[in-house]
Amino acid sequence: MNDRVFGVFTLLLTFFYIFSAYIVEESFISDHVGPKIYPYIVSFFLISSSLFLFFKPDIKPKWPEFRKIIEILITAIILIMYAVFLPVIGFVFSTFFASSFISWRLGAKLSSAFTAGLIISITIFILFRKILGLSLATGPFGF
Amino acid sequence: METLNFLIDGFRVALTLENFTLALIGCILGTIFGALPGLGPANGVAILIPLSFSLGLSPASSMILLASVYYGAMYGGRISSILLNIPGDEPAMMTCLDGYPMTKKGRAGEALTLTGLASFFGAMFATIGLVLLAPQLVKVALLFGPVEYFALFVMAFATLGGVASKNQAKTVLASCLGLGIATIGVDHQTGVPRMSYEIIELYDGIDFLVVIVGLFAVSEVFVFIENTNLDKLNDEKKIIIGNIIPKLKTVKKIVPAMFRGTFLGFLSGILPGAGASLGSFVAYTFEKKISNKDDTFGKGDERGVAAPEAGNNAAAGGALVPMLALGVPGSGTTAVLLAMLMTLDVTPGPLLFKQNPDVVWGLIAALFIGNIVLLILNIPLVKYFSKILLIPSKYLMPVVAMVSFVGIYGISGSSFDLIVMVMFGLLGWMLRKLDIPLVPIIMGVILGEHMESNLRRAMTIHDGDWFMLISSNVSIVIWSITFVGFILPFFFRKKIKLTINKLQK
Repeated sequence: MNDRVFGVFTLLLTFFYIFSAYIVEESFISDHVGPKIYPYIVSFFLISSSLFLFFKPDIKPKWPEFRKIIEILITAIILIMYAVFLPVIGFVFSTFFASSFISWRLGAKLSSAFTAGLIISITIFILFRKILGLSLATGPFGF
Repeated sequence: METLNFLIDGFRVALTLENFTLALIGCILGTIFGALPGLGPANGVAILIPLSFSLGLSPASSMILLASVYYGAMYGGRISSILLNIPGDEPAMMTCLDGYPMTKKGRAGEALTLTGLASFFGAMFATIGLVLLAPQLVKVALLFGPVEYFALFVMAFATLGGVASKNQAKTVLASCLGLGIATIGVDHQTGVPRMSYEIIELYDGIDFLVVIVGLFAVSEVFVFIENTNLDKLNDEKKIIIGNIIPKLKTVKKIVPAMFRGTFLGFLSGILPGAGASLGSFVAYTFEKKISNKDDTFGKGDERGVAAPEAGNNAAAGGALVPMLALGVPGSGTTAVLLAMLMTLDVTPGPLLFKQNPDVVWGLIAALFIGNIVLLILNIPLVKYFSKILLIPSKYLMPVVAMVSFVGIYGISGSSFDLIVMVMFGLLGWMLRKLDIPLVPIIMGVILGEHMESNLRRAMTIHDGDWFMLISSNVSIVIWSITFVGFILPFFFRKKIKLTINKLQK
């Protein structure tokens, strides 16, 4: 993807944004401007800058190879799963898996990644939950 | 005299055991965040804000903690610039130019000491400048109404790209993305939901912290994963510091450079949208222009490290002036600090000095104390900090990611927020690739609501007459600066780009 494609993407996004502003149901008491005008103003600048990107793109960015992009997407999915499972299986377990995964993908051997994950999740739990008293997800086991 | 009394009160706030400890922790963490490549001041502050909320710190205490992190990062950035030729954060980029050559000559220790001194000098003067200038600016700001404020917000965005921006269109696009995100949720003036599509979680809008931590911290994880192979090079890095005590003659030699750097840095800090990166850039180029008689710059000239370091630290202090006095931040990190104040129900701007003198003066006093602490941390103890650079990112990044999650979850306890945060992380990674700046997005998200409400209040006062936006003299001046500030870079950018390219060679 280059600037040109991104310009088209933001242009489409802006149209969706304008539509979303257009369908806002105004309340019967309103100030002079109302809730729609300001989003329209923002949209004007969004459209102009998107068009500018489309017609005068910079040099193409260097995207990583396909395999890397997939790897990044998988990491994102793992992190989203982390968010979902956090309240279900508790902080220590989910953090152990997530941080081991990141550490592994950043080049650690599996065994040291798991060790790192274990140390990270337990340290954060003790530091933030036990010492600083933050509310972390507890899950069925209480940790 | 009045100022002095306030300052004494400020020291009373800053010297309580709790606040002093927080300043100390902030300085240490800040230096670490600054020193580690990839984690800048904005990152550091963003990760810690949720934590300071969850810990229930008072506004004054949180401000002291976070501003210490901010100052600390400015000091820390130089460490990896000098030792590894990798800027620890963006403002430290210029320090590589002469810092790394000094290391190659075996003078790393000296370079670290001199830059430590320069940082101290710049930051100290900037903090004094803040004390003198901010109350004056407050007097002016008290005359501002919604019309002027709206103009001021527009100015902050228009000049944000500033002379250092690569592409004005991208800055505008990024700002508007941020402003657009800020409109999601219930409209505060009329109470109708906007852009929320019946999704309950969106009624409150998207929390700026989720956006910040996502764009800055989570995206960093993806950047590291993308560059895993490069990390192997770092495994062989060795850090030799050597003698840290410079000759008196060398110290004398850099004094004028520190003065010039401090002055230029402070000025660029005060200007909206410029920030510390510009400060160090201007300081270095100017210093090179007037001191490079024997063609020693770029080959390890001491003045070439002192000037930009004094510059970026002075700019960091200078950037606090408009943030505290006007409530309009000039840089990404100060925007984040501003956002934190707003969330704690403290309104930044002229009234801050009246309503919450403890926050302002406690903060300023903490900055003075923090500076001295940082000088100690960064000269005699610099060896220990440089060891941190040896932690491989494969163990460091998981910690950063998990602490970010902990912070956000600690505030809201909502998985939805975490998912949105990961999405913003992906977006941030993509935008970085496309060279679209992230700071304007953050500023947009943080300032959007205020900007809109000022516009609408102005229209309510003036019965919907849009021409009233340029009615007062003050507003005309602000709009003119906005216009010039936006147009100028189109002419200067090429020149600056050339200079940067030349310097990097």
